[in-house]
Amino acid sequence: MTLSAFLAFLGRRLFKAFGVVLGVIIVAFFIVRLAPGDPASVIAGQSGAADAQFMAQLRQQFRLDEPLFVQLWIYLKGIASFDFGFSHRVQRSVLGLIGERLPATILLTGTAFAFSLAAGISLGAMAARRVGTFADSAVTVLALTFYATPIFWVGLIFILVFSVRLNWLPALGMFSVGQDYTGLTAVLDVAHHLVLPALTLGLFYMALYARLTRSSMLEIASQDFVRTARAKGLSEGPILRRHVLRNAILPVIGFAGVQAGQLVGGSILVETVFSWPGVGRLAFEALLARDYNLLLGVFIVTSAMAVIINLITDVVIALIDPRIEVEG
Amino acid sequence: MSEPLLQVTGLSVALPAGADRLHAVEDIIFTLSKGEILCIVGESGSGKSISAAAIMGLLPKRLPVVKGSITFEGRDLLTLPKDAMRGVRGKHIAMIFQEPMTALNPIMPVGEQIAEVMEAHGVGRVADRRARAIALLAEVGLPSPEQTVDAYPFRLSGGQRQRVMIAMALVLKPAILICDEPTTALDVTTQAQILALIRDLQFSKGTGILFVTHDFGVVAEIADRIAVMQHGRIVEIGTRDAVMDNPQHTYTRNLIAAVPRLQMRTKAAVEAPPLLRIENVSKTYWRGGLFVRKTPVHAVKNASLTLARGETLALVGESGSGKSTLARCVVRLIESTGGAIHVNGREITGLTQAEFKPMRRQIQMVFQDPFASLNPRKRVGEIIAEGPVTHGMPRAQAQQKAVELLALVGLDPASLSRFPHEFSGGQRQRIGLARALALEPELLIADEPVSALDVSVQAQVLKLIADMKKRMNLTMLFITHDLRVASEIADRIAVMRHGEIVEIGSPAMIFSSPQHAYTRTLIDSIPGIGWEGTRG
Amino acid sequence: MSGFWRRFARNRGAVIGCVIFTIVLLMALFAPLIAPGDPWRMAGPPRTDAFDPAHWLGTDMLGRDVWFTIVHGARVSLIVGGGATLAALLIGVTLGAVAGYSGGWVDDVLMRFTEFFQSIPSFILALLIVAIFQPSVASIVMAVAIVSWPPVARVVRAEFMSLRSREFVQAAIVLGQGRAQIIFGQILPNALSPIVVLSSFMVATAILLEAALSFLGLGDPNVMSWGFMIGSGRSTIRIAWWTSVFPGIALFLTVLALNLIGEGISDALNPRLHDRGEA
Repeated sequence: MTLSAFLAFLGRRLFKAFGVVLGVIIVAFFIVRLAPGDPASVIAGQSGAADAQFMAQLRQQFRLDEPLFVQLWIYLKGIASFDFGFSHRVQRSVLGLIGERLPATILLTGTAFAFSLAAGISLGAMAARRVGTFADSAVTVLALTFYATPIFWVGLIFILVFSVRLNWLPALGMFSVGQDYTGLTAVLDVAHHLVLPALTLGLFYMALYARLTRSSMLEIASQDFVRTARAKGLSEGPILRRHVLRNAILPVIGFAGVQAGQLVGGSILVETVFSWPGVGRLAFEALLARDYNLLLGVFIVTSAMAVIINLITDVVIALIDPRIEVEG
Repeated sequence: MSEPLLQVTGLSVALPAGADRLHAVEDIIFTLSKGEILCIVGESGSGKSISAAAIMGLLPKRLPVVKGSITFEGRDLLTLPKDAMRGVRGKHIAMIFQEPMTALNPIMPVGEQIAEVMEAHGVGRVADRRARAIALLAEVGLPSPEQTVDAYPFRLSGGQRQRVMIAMALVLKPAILICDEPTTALDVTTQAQILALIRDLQFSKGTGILFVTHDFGVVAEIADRIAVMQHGRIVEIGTRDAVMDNPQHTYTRNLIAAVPRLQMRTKAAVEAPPLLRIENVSKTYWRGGLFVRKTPVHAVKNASLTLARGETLALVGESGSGKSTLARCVVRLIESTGGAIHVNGREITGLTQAEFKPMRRQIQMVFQDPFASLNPRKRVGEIIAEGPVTHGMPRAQAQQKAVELLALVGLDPASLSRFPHEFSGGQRQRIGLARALALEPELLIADEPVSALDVSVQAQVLKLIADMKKRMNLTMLFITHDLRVASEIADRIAVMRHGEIVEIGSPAMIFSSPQHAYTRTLIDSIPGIGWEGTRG
Repeated sequence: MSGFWRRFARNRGAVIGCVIFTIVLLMALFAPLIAPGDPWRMAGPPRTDAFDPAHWLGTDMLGRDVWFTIVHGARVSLIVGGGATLAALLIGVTLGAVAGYSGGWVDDVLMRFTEFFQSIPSFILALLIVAIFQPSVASIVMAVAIVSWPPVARVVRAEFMSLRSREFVQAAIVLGQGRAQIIFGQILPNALSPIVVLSSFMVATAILLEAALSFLGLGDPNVMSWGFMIGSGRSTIRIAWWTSVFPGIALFLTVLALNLIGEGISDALNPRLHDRGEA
């Protein structure tokens, strides 16, 4: 693909990503408006903890005396200038709270995403290559199992087995408490804490991608150009790598990109189970405290994260698949 | 001729249990010599493609070779170890396939796909492979090979892709080239070019070519020898002239007789008021979307023609010529973007769907694909009765009518309660015809109604359509890509190209003195045109 | 259709799935008979170990019998699974059919809308909806439906698009049939099989979503649910593992069963797929 065509593609794709984020903000706005009752009291929550001053502050923030679309405009303007409002529970700006927690979530979801794709594609490819054998059935059973297991429950079982019983890996948090590690030791410490949550989050998607890769490879393997490759006298190795796999992973990566939102959403459950100090854990805390302003902020920021992952996968696909350029 | 290149002896390939016969091919015997073209010809299911795949060692596992030998250079290919066979494929025996659109890897530049053959057989240095690929692309007649070598398949037309396939097959100068219906998916003019290319190669390189096809025209065009297959057996084998001019086996005789003849007749001009008048009809599509600049595509440009009552006009052209689009504008499956269409003197393009509905009875259509044109979830009786019921006939009466129509198109009235999948392709086309006739139309649009059928079935369905036309005094617009079919059924022929009608005339006029250069090209491209003069 | 049932019955996974699902269904239907009484009540001493003769799956910190909670929890899982799937089918089939049948800009707009819902973190959206509208079976069904219709819309659209251009549909237009007749008489019956397959997977996903919401404390407070039990046992996993483990197994088996059934239907509808991969 030429550079100009690539830039044009990137431009279109960025425009679309921007549209999605805008849509998310509008959806967030309307959920609050559609809920029964005064939006301020919805935002403040039913806990009764909100004081009169906070309610007034909220009404001010949302300009409830203005018409609906003016309110939406003001809300959008606020978010465009990174004003997500105020969390009354901890008396801090929503953006500050999220910003503080974001790196932990990016680390967790990024690791889980990469792991699930790499492991899923490898397993799926292996199963497709040995279709009908024991290895194939084993992968199928493994995939079915993880696909049917709720991730929060997997997390609990992992804690029970690997932390409580075997004491191999830490169950909670991101750092060892009371240790002031620096440098490499600190990195290893975080990695040590990361294993269980990342596995928990990644296994479900690994199962999904393994199944998808398997069926995609079998479908590609039955296509004419693979027969052509065989007629050319190529050995099975290059046929599988160059012709089958490269074509087969395109839909898998594409699907993974679209599914990124689900993976990011799933981090709420995993972070809650493992007390991982990320945005998901923050969302759970916000939920417990009925701190909806914070929850809305989390929704918008995690959506943006999902959109960015989706954007990256689309670019990867465009680099592999020459046909993307013309489809636009 | 000397020692044969390839000798196939007593080859049998089993079919999976539960198939309609035991063997896909049974006891096949033939030889292929250096520099000759052997055509294996047969209808679908005759086992001709299976024979080709068996030689390449490309049979699927469920179709095992159970008997016989395939001798090449003193070795039996069937007993060769996997790796040795791999060394033969692509190097000594190469193959090209039917579907150029899917036979190339869509995400790999064509040059790399050609170079891969050299790589697989460890021939040449890496640096030279590209140059060799460019040279080959030039040899098979592709324009600007230096650019094409880096192009992805989706940038190339079907004919160009087939040339790439041929280049790929020729990389290592194989002794044998197997062609499995290599021109079936191509337009007739492209087909003529590819056939000429294959003939040239055989002539200049002395390659032995095994050419699998269903088309006797193509056979007449290029074969040195012919093997005719039926139900998995070779029923007749011999030189081209012997088989074509003096066929011994009944099946061969029937097959050759079923190929429509190029008929140069002039029918008396039909003196009747026009039923259909198409005036300057255009159809322009806009390609592009929200974010891509829109560009116009002119599918039909200012097409005009008239059809007298009782007349049959064949609309002939290659794919993309706009013939189907124009026909669909007449039944308003597609809305034209310019011009006027008069049916029985009434302009129809401006009518609302509700106003047009009563007129739909007068204009019916028969479709191309026997498998897609009948709703798989409805019984045949319901499919045929649907039209009359839609126009207000009581259901019982419509069912009665369906019974009569089934008999008329030559099907058992008991078919009424069966589903489409229980019928063969030819039977389904009969059902499709009955559905159209159920409304007693005046104008019948037939969109390539026989092009998906085997040649013997094609002859029967063509005859049925002609009978029905006469019996019900139909006026017919018959769309086809096949000039032989057109000449057999039509009173006049209209030739379309790039959305325009370039010429209209009687078959005699079109074939004996074509006015437009494109018409001449089209006629010259008819496979086996030289054969027509000698047909008995 | 007899061929379909024969192929389905020959699929071992699908049959196992049917057996498990039937058991869960019976459990939900006859919960008051199998485990009489309020599942929330204190049925025995708190933290009774699993495999105790009186409480064979143990009791939790508040003395609730884990077996009782599983039997009663099956109800809300199935209600939400079924209800949300029906609602999502209604949205998805309608939007997909309109997009696929109309094509053009209508299709463009509807598909962007669908893509949007597919690419955002739908679990957080569901969480927001339930939290703001107050947790109840109704709000959970609504939230789950809102986040699970997009795959239906995509599948139905693809089917409609391909069927619409099929010649038998064109034939129906030429015969003069109206739009409703064509959509309901010609296209929809042929698009049903992928919808049926998808529904089975959707019920599974909806059950998982409900459990996840309950796990985070957003379940209907009046109804016993598996997710709630797993969540409530979370903090005591070290001393009373059975409280979380057994409801999790129930959840796993139910979801697995639905997936197996879905695959069984899919394979039985497309027997051709089994031939793939041979070369």
